[in-house]
Amino acid sequence: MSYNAYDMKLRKQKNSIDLLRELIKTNLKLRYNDSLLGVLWVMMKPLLNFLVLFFVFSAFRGGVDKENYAASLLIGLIVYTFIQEGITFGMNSLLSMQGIILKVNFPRNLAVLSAVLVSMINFFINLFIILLLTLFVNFVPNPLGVLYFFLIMLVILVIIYSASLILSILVIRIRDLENIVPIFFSITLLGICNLSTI
Amino acid sequence: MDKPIIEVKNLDKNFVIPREKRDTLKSYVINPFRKIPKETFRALNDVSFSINAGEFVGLIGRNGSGKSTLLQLIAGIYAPTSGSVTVRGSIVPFLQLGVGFNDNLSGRENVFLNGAILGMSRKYLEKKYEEIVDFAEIEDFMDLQLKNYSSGMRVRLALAIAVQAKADIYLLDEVLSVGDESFRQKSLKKMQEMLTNGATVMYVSHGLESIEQICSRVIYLEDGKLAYDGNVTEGLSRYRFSLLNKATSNNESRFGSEKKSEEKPLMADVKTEKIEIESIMIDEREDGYEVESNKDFLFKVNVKILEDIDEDFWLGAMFSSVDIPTSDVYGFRYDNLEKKIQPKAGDRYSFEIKSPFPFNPGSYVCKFKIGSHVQVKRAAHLKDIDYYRKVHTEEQGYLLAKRSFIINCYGEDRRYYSLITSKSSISVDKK
Repeated sequence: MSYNAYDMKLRKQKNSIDLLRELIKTNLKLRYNDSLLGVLWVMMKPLLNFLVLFFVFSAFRGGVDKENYAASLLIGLIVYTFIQEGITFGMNSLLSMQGIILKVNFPRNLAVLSAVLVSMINFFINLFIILLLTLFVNFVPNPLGVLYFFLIMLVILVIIYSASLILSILVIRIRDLENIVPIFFSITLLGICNLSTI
Repeated sequence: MDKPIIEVKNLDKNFVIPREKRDTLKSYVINPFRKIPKETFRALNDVSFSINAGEFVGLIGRNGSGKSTLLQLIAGIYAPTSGSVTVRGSIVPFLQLGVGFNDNLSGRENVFLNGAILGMSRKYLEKKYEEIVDFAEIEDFMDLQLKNYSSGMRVRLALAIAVQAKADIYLLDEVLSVGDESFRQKSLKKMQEMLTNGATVMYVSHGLESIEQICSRVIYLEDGKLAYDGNVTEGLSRYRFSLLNKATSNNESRFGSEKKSEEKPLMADVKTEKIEIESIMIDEREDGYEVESNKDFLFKVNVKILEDIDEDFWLGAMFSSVDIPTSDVYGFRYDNLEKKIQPKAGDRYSFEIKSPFPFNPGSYVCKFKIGSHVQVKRAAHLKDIDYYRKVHTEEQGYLLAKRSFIINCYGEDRRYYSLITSKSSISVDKK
C-alpha cells in the first residue's frame, strides 16, 4: 500500500466508526457535564421555550385561532431546536477540535458529523418524550404521516450536515459567524411562531 | 521490500502569515479587495530524503527549524506547498501525548477516546485495557475524572495507551523523555520491544544523548533546509558545532555593538588568569550537558587557584537561548563578600549550585564567569542601572575566568509559567 501522505481518500480508515462513536459519546457526556439537571436539559430547553412562546402568543395576541396550536408549537420547537443546535455545534466543531486536528490525521468531517449526530440524538430523546405525553391524550398518529415525518427529518439532517460542513470552514476565516448564526436563529424562531399562528 | 517506506521529494512548506489579522466580516465589507500585506514563512525548503523500513531516524535542529512541521507533513496533517511525501505503510503520529484527553472524562473513557483517535479499534482497546491500566500503574484511579490526576499520572496513562498502537511507522516528538526515571526506562523498553519487529521510527528530541543511544541515523534540519543526513556521530557533532558557533557569533555582535556605543566596556576581558576552571559538571556529566525541563539540576564547578586572591569575587552563570542569545533568560550568582573565603594559590575549590532549569526544551548557551571586585559596592536596585554600570567599570572589576558552553534541555514543554518554586542553593568546598 503506497499513498501520498496527504491524500485522505486512499487512507484506510477501518476504525472510523469507532472514532465517530467515541466522539459522539464524549460530546454527549460533556455537553451537560457539571450541571445539576444534566441530561434533563436536553428536553428542558425546548420545553421552557415552548412555555414562553405559548404564553406570549396565546395570551398577548388575544388567543390563537388555530386548532392544536400547542401540539404543533411543541413539535415545531423540537424540530427547530434540532436544526439550530445541529448547525451551531456543527459550525464550531472544527474550531473546538483544532488541538486534535493539528496533531493527528483523521477524516475531519467526522468532527462535524459527530456534532450533528449528537443533535440528532437529542432530537430523538425529545421526540420520545413527546410520544410518551401523547399516550395520555389518546393520540393515534397517522402511519403515513409518521413515515412522511421521518422522510422530512432525513432531508433536514442532510441539510444540517451540509450547512455545518460549509460553515465550519467559513467560521475559521470569519469569526463573526459565531455571533451572526445565533441571531439569525432567534429571528427565524419568532418569525416561524408568528406565521404558524395564522 | 525494496522501496523506501517514507519518500520525501523536494518538499516545500510555506506558511502565509498576514501582517494584520483579518477574520471579521467588517474588514471584508469595508474594503474587500484591499490586499493585506503577507509574509511567507518557509518552514521547509527543498527537503528530500528517503527512509527504509526498520530504520530509527533521529531528527535534530534548533527550535523553529522545521522538525515538527516535517513530522506533520509525513503524518498527513498538512498538505505540502510543493514536492511530495510518499508513505508505504500505516503511521501512528505521537506529536503530543494524550491527544484529545478530556479533563471531564474519567480515565477509562479517556483510554477509549485517545485510543480511537490514534486509530485503534474499540475491540482491540477492550482486549488491551487491562494491560494499559497495569502499565500506567493507576488501577485505583481509572474511574476518576482526568482533571483530578497529577501530571505524572496523565503522562503515564497517555504513554500506556500510546505503546499499544500498532503501525509500520511511528513519529515521535519528544515523547520518550517524560515521566520519572523508572517509568521512562519501562517505556523505553516497551518501545524497543515494539520496534524490534521491523518498525520504522522518526524521533525528534533535544535530548541528544538519547538520540545517540537509540538512533541509527540522523537528519539535521537548519532553517528548513536539510543540513545533514547520515551517520549519528557526525550529524550530532555538526549540530553541536553549529550551536556553539551561532551562540558565540551572536555574542560577539552583541558585545561588539555595545563596545562601539559606549566608551568603556561593561566588563573587561580576562585580565589575570588567577583562577583556572578545571571542570564544569552538570548532573555529574562533564560534557554534552543535558538537563530536563522543569527539573532541578546540579551545577558543579571545580577550580584551581593559580594566584592568591585578596579581593572579593563573584561567580555566576547566565543562560540564554541559542536562537535569541541577546536575551539572558535565567542565571544565578554567588558573591563572596567580605572575604568569606580567602583562596590561596594552589587551593582547589568546588562550588556546587543546585538550581531549577525553568525552560522549554531547546538549546541554551551558558556563560559561566568568575569576576572580581576590588571593592564591592553593589547597586541597591537594578533600576539604578547607570550606577550599577559605573560601579562595575570604575571599580575595575575584572574577570578571573570564564567559559561558555551549550546545554540542551529536553522533556515536556512547561505547562505552568509560574514563578520558580525552588530556589538555587550553593555550597562551597575546599579540597
